[in-house]
Amino acid sequence: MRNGVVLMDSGGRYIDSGVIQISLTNAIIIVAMIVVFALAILLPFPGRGRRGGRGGDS
Amino acid sequence: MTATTAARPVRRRSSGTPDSHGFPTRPYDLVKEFVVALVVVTILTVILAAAFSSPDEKAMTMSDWAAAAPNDVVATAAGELAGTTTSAGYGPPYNTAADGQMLGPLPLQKWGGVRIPVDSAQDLVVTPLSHVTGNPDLTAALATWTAASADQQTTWASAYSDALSKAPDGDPKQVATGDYGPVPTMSEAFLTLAGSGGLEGALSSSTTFYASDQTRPLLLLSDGSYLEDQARARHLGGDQWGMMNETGNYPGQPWMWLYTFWYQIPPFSTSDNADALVWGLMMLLTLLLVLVPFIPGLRSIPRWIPVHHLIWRDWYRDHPRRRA
Repeated sequence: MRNGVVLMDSGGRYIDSGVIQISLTNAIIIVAMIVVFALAILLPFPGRGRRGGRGGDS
Repeated sequence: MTATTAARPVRRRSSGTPDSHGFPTRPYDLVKEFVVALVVVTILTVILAAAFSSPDEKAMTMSDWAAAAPNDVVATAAGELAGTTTSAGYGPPYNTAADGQMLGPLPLQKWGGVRIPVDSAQDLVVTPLSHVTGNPDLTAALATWTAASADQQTTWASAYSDALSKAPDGDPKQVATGDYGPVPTMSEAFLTLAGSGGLEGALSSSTTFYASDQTRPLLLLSDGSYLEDQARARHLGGDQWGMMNETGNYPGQPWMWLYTFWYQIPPFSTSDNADALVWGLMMLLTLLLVLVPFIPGLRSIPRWIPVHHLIWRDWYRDHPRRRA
């Protein structure tokens, strides 16, 4: 095993860095979950504009 | 299901904590959100399943094992007869050979009791061989084995097992001459039985009517090295974060990261009690999570990392005095 490389063999692609060993697919899913979480927090709440300002609904 | 909009002044209790009924509300359709989420997830599931399919590893059979690693089959059979395999010394729920996993002084595995009794030599090797017909040498070997004392059986099998481990590639044909009793004959016959495909039935049909109990075939396979080699080749080993992984490039169980993380570091990675220790640690961490509202410091994290200020940023922009 080498450090910090994507291992490719019949068992799949793996990222190996020190004690961490994770499949590329799992890593992509974890990053996607973090991105979705960040978007859920940062994007404006749907329908906010239709009520004409933030008034008492926020 | 909706909540109504109401702009009421925020009232404070005498303790200084705002009254939750005093905050403004907004209309929100939970049923609509549920339906939209269900439809989106269903469509995504169908598209992804059509595009990527699912893992479909070919089931491992005793016949595969015999063809791919015949010397491992013979060594495993000899080990079962000698009582030196993992299953023979596992302890509960199969036998009383060991106490098993302990959490400090607490023998958790022993408390479970022997609920699936398995005599590795008898149940995994001798009984399946006793169903073989038309092999006079095997019949005579089994008779010799059965008539011998337990000590004599162990002596024969241990000597043969040791000799196999010293032979080039574990090849039975290159084992040094010695007093191994009927063990070589039995081991060779066991290999033949495995290769014929008859071993699965002999191991599973003796336990239940429908022969669906795979405990004994799996114990036998795991006593050899072939199963572990196959698992490690697919990154499913315990020290490979295997709990998180699926075969090939399919997504696994990333939410198991913390549970499997402990197996990668000392003292868990070097402990015979890793299963019990990791379980105990995770129970402790779960208890801490449940008790977060009561733990000074931990319960203040939302004030230090005010994510809720981002979510309710409009409110905090309009009510700057409420900022922590």
